[in-house]
Amino acid sequence: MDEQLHKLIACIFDQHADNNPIDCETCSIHFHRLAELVAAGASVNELLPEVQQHLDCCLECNEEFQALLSIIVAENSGLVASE
Amino acid sequence: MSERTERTNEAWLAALRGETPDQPEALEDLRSRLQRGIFYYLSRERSDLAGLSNHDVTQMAQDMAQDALMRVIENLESFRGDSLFTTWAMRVAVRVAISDLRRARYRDFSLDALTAESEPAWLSLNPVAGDKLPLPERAAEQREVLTRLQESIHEALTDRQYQALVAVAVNNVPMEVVAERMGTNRNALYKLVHDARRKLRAHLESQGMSMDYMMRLFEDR
Ligand SMILES: [Zn+2]
Repeated sequence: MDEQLHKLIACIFDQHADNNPIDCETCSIHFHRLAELVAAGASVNELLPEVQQHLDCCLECNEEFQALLSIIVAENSGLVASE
Repeated sequence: MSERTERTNEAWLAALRGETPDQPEALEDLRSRLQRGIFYYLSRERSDLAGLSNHDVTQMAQDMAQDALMRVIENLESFRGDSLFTTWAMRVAVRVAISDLRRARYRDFSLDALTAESEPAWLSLNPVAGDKLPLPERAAEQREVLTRLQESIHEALTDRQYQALVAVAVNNVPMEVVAERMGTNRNALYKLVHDARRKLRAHLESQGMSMDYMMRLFEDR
């Protein structure tokens, strides 16, 4: 199947976000706190399931959260070079 | 920064607000910390930037850290103390960095290029991507469903909903880029796309078209 057609159909029928009132702004407000907790082993889904739901259907928020998390994890393990 | 000079949240805030004499050091410590974080992200987590020289990535991280530092200072009062201050500041920096990358990638695209021009690509009544041709009856059914899909899109959606849906959901253009071109913001656009897909789904389902049916009809076999 044409990839774009596939995406369109999947998007139209995606019910992920239907009962989820969280928008990008509300979602990202939690990122710093979540990143620390997840870096320490917690799960977003257990802490804030509505944020996990938003991350599952919002590529952009997910990209931003994963980026922050990767930096925090790297900092904690001394991977971010210090001067 | 060594462990010894690691500040508490209160010390960071006081210093950055200029309430203690170490404001210049605090600004520089924070800027350099943000730069290191951004550099790590750009050089280790972004395969799309692998072609850039170390010098270019460093320069990029430097510019982004400078912007991020300003953004942090402007928004200092919105930090509520619910994490380390530096984690919160890094969140701001990540947002600046990723926004820059998204904008840069689509700098030369107009809104039309992000929406209308792509129409033929996905509504070209030619749903078969591979080289296997479908049986004639199946091909006819596919054409009919695509036509109905196309009609539904035009009947059910406003122009803005259509533009938003195609740009975001089909062409995967970042929402903040589309929002900027459409003169709105990311949150409003998120809602616009959300409403568009719901309307379209209701419209299609009212005609007996489910996702399973459509996916099966177009799947390669
Ligand atoms: Zn989002």
